[in-house]
Formats: sequence, structure tokens, C-alpha cells
Amino acid sequence: MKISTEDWILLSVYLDGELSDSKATRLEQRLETEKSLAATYEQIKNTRTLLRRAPKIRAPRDFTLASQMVGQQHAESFWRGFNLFRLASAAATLLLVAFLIYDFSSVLVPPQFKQLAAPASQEESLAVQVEESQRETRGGSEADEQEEQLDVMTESEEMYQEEPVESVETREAEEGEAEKAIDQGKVPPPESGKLLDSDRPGEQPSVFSLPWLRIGEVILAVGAIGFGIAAWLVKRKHQ
Amino acid sequence: MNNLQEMIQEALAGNLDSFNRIVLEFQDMVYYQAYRTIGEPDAAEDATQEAFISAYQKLHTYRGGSFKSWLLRIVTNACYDEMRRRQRQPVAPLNPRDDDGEEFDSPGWLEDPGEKPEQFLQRAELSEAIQHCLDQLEVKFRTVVVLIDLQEFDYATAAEIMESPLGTVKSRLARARLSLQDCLQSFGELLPMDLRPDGEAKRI
Repeated sequence: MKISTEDWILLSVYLDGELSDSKATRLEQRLETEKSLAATYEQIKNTRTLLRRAPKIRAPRDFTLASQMVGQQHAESFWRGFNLFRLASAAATLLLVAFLIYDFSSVLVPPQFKQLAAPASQEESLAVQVEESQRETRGGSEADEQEEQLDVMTESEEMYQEEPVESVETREAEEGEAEKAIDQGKVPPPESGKLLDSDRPGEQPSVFSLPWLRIGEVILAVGAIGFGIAAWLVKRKHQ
Repeated sequence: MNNLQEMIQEALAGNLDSFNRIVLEFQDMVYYQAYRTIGEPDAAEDATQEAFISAYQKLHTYRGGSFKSWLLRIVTNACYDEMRRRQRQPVAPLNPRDDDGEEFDSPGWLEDPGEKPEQFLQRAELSEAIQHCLDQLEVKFRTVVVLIDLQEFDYATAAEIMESPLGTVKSRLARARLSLQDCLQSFGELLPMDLRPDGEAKRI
């Protein structure tokens, strides 16, 4: 009678005393009644006995470690660590240099100041020209006239700032007429670029704004120095 | 056992001599495991040496418990690595060869001074027969047989060393024993009288 795989496993585990008590009792009852099972059990027992009688082979030599064996392995890990730190330090230094170049270029010619500087200087030059012309023409009644003109200019600016309802209505009417004229093709429309330029409030500041740039520079500087020191310490420890 | 723990602590502190005392204590067990798993003396030596180097470097990962199990886990992995490295080259004969390539009749490491020549021969032949049958098994079955039947570890320790569930160990061992039984019976005359198959014993 052929023995099933399950019975083989049961017999093998039972032989080693690793079967639970209840299972062992059931198997013992079967071993008393089933001759083929009992014969198989004897075969497994013989096989195990044979294997346990196998000569115990001794180590053919000593496997004690020499310092060079361990040192050789350490040397490999040393070079791995040393090169890693050295590479990290070099990378941090290169990045730091790039940051510094960007930083200096933005400080010397800040992009947001480039655009703002032009209209401001134009206004200043116009004011200087007005003052100079005032000085030249100043004297007697001419000076008074200039002052009156300046007063009128100031008043007109104030009027522009605090525009009365009437003037707004008048201007809307004028704009309506202008639009009609454009629609009829009598007058060419104004260039859109000019309208946008006058409305643009100014460019957004760059992502690399100065505080973040400085923080990045500090982190990179610390990293470059830190990794450099780590590489030096690894090398020193190895020596 | 306390002595072993002291040696481990000293080795952890960088004392190579202490670790070498551990090596001397366990090298027979480690080599035997490697030899029976791989089946080639040279490869077993390489695996054993690699295992001890690896054990020294990983000693800080030993967290108490059975040091023998921890060490044998490293040896088992070293054997697998060695076998992969050699890509299962044909098994070398058990007996080592001399400078002319001739096999020695009696390998020195099997010699027992108090043994008669015929007893030694029978023992060497039995060893060779067992190794031949072990080599026929898949490595996962071979490892469990070597641990439980040859090194005489219990199931739980074998499962710990192999990092396998207990059920897997039981199943593999039973299947391996079945294969070994069939193989060993073909060596009838080489087996001890009391362990030969019935027909063989009656005939003699």
C-alpha cells in the first residue's frame, strides 16, 4: 500500500518527537493496525539513523582571521565612505559657487530695480527741468505767472484725483463717442501693448529672493565644510 | 556560555583574538555545515572563511539568543553565495588530489587514529555515499536535512536558521528523507548491516 505525502510528513515529524500529543496518539493507534505504515516508519527511522552516523568531518584547517583579512574588507568600506563624503563636499561647493554668482549678479543689477529705475529717473529729470525753467523765467511778473501756472497745475492734479461726478459723466460720454468712432473705422484702436504696459503693476519677485538665497548659501557652505571634515575624519581614522 | 558572551563583547570592542577564539570553537560545526551543503571541500573552505569574516563584520547585529543559530544563518547564506558564484560546477570527488592529480586514498581529515583500516574505509565510503545522495537534492531540501539529521538541531532552530516557517521545515524534511531513503538503498553493501534493506541483509 502506498503511503500518502501527508502520512510521510506525519511519520517524519513523529520520529523527531515534534508531533502534538493528540496527533501522536492517533498515529500510534494506526501504526499498530496498519503494517505498511509501520514498515514505512521503520524505513524513515533507518534513514535518519544512517544520516546521523555520517562521519563528522572536522575543519581541514584553522579559519581564524588575520588583521589583513578584516583590514582588506575595512579598506573597501573606507574607500566607499571617503569617496562618498568627498564627492558630496565637492558637489556642495560647486552649488555654493553657482549660488554666489547668481547672488552677486542680482545684487549688482537687481532685475526689479532695472524696470523701476527708468520711469523714476524720467520723473526726476522732468522736475529738474521745470525747476530750472522756473529759475530762468523767475523775476517780477513772470515769476508770479509761473507760480500761478504751477498752482493751476496743482489744482488740475487735485481735480484729477478727486474727479467730480460731472466730469466722469463727460469723460464716459467722450469714451463712448471714441468707441463708436473706432467701431465705424474712423479712428484706429489704441495698441493693446501700450494699455497693458500702463496697467502692469511691476514684475513679481524671483523665487530666489535674497533671504532664501542666503539661507541656501549658508546650508551649502555648512554642507561643503561638514562633508569635507567627514572625509578627513574617515581618512584619519583609516591611517 | 558566559565565556562566549564575554568573547563576543571583547570582539565587539575590536579584539580580534577574542573573535578568533570563537572561530576555533565553532569552525568544525561551520565547516561541516558548509561541506555537506555545498559538497565540495574547496568551496566549503571558501564559504567557511567568508562566513567568519562576515560574522566578524556583522557581530554588532547579534542581539542575544542562540549564537550558534545566528552563526549558522550566516554560514547558510555564505553557502548559497558560494554556490551561486561557482554556478553549481560538477561535484568534486570526496578524496582530495595530490600534485599529480591522483586521488588520495585516505583523506587526512577523515582519519581516526583508533580505527581499523576496514572500519575507516567503510566510514569513508558511507560518508561519500551520503554526500552523493545529498547532492541529488535541491539545496533548500539539503540544507534542512543537514541541519536536522546531520547537525541534529531541532525544528525550531532549523526554522530560525533558514528563516522559514515551521511547517515548511517539517514538509521539506519529510520529502528530503524520502528521496534520501531511495538513494541510499542503492548503496546497499556500503551501508551498515543493521541499516540495510531487508532483502540485502538476509542475502548477506
